Amino acid sequence: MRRWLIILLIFLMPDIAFTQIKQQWVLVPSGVYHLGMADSDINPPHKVYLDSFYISNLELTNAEFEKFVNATGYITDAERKKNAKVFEPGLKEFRWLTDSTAYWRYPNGKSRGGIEDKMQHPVTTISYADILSYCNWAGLRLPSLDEWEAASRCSSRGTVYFWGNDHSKVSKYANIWLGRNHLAADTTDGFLRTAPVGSFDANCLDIYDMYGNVFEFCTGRLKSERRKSIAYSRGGSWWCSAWACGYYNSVDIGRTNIHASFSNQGFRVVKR
Amino acid sequence: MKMNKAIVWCLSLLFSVSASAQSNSYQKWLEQKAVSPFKTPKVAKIIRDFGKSQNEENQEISEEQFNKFTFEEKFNYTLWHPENYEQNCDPNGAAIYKPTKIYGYISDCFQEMGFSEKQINFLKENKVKVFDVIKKDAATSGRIWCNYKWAIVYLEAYDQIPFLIDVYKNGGRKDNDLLALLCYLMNSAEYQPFLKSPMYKKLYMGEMTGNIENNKANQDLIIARAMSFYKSKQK
Repeated sequence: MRRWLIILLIFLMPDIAFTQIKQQWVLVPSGVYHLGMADSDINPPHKVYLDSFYISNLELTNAEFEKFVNATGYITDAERKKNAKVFEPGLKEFRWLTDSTAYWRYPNGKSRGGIEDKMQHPVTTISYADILSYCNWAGLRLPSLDEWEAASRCSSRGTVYFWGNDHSKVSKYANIWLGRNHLAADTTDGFLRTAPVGSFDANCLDIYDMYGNVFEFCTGRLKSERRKSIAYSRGGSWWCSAWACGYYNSVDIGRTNIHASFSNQGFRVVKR
Repeated sequence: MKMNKAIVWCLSLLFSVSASAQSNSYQKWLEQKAVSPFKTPKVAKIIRDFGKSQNEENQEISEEQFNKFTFEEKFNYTLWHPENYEQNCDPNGAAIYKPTKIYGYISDCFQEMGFSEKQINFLKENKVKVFDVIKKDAATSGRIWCNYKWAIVYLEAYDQIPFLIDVYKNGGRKDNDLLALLCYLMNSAEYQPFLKSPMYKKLYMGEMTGNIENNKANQDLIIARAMSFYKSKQK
């Protein structure tokens, strides 16, 4: 009997291991939202009214981005400019390598492997400009900075995370870097870089990976920013640790050039 | 009674507006870049042209073009036009620094850009000459300007700790970013006595704008620790 059970388990294992969370649209209701946090220079407390919107429960995957490229022949910024920023263990904090071979099919360069077995990982090594092209093709859009925060916070107000300010709970919800620095590889949570979308617990609205995995680009502009060349992203990424970056929360707002491609930047979409 | 409350409210509002204006002006002061001692019209034109096409595409020159530059041209190009895209969660890029605090990272005067590999190599290969320029400037200005501080960050120039302390103590207006730079160097080298200190936890564990009070005790402690660190590197 026990032997049969083991055989049955072995037979079922691949299905169990590869069960994917399905992409769904989550309704974020209209209403007044209290966003930002005291003492944050970039995101001070503010009250906004938002219309309801539908946001994807998952980050956009390599498989979905491939459909766009196959249909349009689109060439990304990283492919044209050959200046994508990639990561390998051993780099000092906040340092990235420029790899001319890197683009979304080889997010960290050809020598570090492709995405053949990572089609359910979030697409990365794409720029904000690339993402706008995708959205245009797909008839979708990015969330605004405020919409993203409302979806990440649920009803929380003035806290770092949707559950409060307790940092120790982050790993339950987010694929982040748990090592003290980036000099040595860290796979404490099972993933060196990106994880398949939906690998960690969902937030209070059943949305996955709002914190960690990849930085998610948003539309909108900070009042203090006049340059048109800057794009904003939120939620931190697999690279972020408690000692460096730490942006896997509902408050911080990352910035980068609209044509920059990093292997920790991705996005999630909203219905138009 | 109501009148008194209104006066207190007005005064506190005035105080907070004035404190915020003070922080903004301090931040701008911290982000000031040096005036280069070298006149390099060719490089000035390249940087000006990049500035005009800020939205678009490449902000870098080829390795071949860079290698043809003189030392002075490379110096100006590197320290006034870092050409590498930076990660979007770079330390303290969005913070408004207050003069009453000491932070763990220096102010960001390069925004979302940093030195590229060829620029870092130039700084490394010409470290002595680069510091000659920086020190000559500090002798007259009493400052280490923001872009020069970033060169120290990229070079991890522990050997310049006594120079940093000297400028902090004997320069003009107190520049807390010099203390931040000392802390950054100790953190970057994982200097154990610093990593075990409560100060380290406040500066580097948690939010990116971690800070401590700018008071004499903290100033002295940072300087003393940095000197011990410097001496340990000399052994």
